[in-house]
Amino acid sequence: MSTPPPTRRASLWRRVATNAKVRYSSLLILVLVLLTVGAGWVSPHPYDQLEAAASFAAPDGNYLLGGDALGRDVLSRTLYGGRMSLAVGLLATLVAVLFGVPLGAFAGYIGGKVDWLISRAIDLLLPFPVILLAIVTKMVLGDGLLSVVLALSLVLTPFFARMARAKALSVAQLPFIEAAQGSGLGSGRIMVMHVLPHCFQPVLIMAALSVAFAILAEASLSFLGLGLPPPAPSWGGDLQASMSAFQLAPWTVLAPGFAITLAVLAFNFLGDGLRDAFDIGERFL
Amino acid sequence: MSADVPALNVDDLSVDIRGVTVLDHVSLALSPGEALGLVGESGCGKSMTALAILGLLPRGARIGGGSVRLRGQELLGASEDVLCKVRGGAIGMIFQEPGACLDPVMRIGRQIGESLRLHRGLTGAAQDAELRKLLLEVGLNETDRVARAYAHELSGGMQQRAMIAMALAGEPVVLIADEPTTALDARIASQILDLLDQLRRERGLALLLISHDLAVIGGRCDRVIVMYAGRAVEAAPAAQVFTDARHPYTAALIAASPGIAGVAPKTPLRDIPGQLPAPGGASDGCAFAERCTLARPACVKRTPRWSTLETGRGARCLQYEEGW
Repeated sequence: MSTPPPTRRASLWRRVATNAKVRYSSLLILVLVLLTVGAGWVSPHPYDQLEAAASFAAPDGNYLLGGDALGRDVLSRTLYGGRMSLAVGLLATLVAVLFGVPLGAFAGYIGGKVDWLISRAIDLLLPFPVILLAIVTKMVLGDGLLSVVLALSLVLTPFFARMARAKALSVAQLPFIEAAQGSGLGSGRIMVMHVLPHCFQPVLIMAALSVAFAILAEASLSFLGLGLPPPAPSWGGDLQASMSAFQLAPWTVLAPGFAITLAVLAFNFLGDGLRDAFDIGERFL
Repeated sequence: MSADVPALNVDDLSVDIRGVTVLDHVSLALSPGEALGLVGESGCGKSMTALAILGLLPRGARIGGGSVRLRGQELLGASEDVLCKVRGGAIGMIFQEPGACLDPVMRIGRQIGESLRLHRGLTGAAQDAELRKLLLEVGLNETDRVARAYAHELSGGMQQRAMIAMALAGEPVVLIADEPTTALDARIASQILDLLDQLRRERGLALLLISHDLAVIGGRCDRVIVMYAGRAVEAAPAAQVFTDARHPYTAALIAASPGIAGVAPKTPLRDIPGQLPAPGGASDGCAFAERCTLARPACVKRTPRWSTLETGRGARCLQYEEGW
C-alpha cells in the first residue's frame, strides 16, 4: 500500500468545506461578525450621537442609511445593534449545548429511572413561552444581556437534550459500547469517549439552526421591550422605535429588518449546508 | 503460579433473566496456558457465560448462584470498581464483529491507548512505545498507519488483530474470545486462530474460546465443553471428543459438522432434527430429550445430573446415571 487512502475525517471535512451553502453562509457570518464586533472602527458615527438636523435624514454621503427620529445614524445603530443579536444568539446556543447535550446523552445512555426523571424535567421546560421566561429572568436578573441569554437558553436546552438523548439511545445499543465495557471503561468514560463524539454532527447542525432561532427570538423580545432598554442599540428595539415612521422614513425600519433577515438566513443556510455535508438526512432534525 | 489455583474457575454458575433460567449450573476451570473451547448452538448460553464472568449481564439478568473466581478472587458480587479493573485488565475480551466493536469515529491507536492508560497508567511516549509493541505482537506491522487509521480503513482481519491488541493492553491472565472468527472468511479466520494460539503459548494466557463451530474449537483447544440450552452437557479433552462423544448431543453436533480437519471421520452430514427449546420452556427433564435419538420416557421427567465418567471427562445424560 503506497499511498494511504484519505481518512474518513479528511473526506468529511472536505465535503463540509466544499459545500456551497456552508461556504457562502460562513463568509456572510464572518462579515457580519467582523462588522459588528468592529463597529467601533467601521461605523461612521457614534450610535448614540443626537443630531437634530439629521432627524429622518434621507440616506446620503454622510448618513449612508439615513437618520432616525432622534437624528442618530441608522447604519451605525444597525452595526452596533448586531453585537447584541449575535452575542445573544451565540451565547444562548452555547449555554443550551453545554447543558442540554451532556444531560440528554447521560439520560439516554444510563436509561432506566434516571432517564425517566431527566426526560420529564425536560418535558416540563418545553411548554413555557419564551416571553414568560424572558419576563421572569428580567425580573430576577434585571436589564441586561444575561437575562435575555438565560431566557433563550432555557427555551433551547430541551431541544438539544432531546436530540442528544435520542442519539445516545441508539449509540448505546452498538457493539462497540459493549466492547468498551469489556475493556474496563466506566460509564462516565464511555459517555465522554464513545457517546458524546457521536452527538457531534447532529449537535453542530442544530446549533447553527438554533443561533438563527435565537437571533430572531432576541429581536422579538427587544421589539417587545424585553431586551436591553433604550438607548442601547438593538435590531428589534430599533425596529419598534421606528415602526410608526415607516412611511416617512422607511430606511429606519428596513435597515434593522434587513439585518435580522440576513443574519437568520446566514445561520439557517449554515445548518442546512452542514446537514447536507454530514449526510445525516432528516433523521434527527 | 501453582497449578492448583486455576486462572479462572467458574462453579455452578446460574443466571436467569426475569425468572427464565438461561444458565443452569455451568462450571468450568481454566489453567494458565490452557485453551478451553466452549461450543454449542446459538442461544445455548455461551456468550451469556462470558458476560456473566465479566459482570456484564444485560439489564434484567440476575445471578442465581454459583461463583466466578479469578486466581482465587471472587468476582460475583464484586464492586463495579473492582470489575472495571478486571475487565480489560486480568481478563481480556474479544468479540464477534471486530468492525462493529471498534468505535467508528476514533482512531485505533487512541482506542488501544485508552486501555493502556486505564490499566497500566501509560501516557505519552511510554504509551506510544507500548502501543507499537502490541501492534507488532498481533502482526500489524504497519504500526504508524494502523494507529492512525479508523476502523473502516482496516480489513476484517486487521480489525480483529487490533481488537486482540486492545484485549492484550491490560496484560491479561485470561483471554475470552467470543466467536472471534465468525465474521471473517476462512483463511483470515485460521490466521486469527493461529495468532491466538501463539499468544497463548508465548504469554501463558488461559484462553476461553467460544464458538458455535466445532471445527474452530477442535484443533485449537486442550479441552472442550459442550453447552446445550444453558447447561454444560459434556466436558472432554479435545482429542477425544470427536472420536468418542459421550453425550448424544455432542455426537449429533459432530455428525452435523463438515470436515473437522483430520479428526472426525468423513460421513454424510446429518442435521439435528427439531430446534433448541426456548429458554425456560421445560423445567423438568433433559432439554435435549425431544431431539435425542436415544431418549427414553425417563428423559423428560428427570433432569440429568452431571456424571463424572473418568478423569477430565463428564456428561449430563441419564444413560450414565441409570447405567443403560
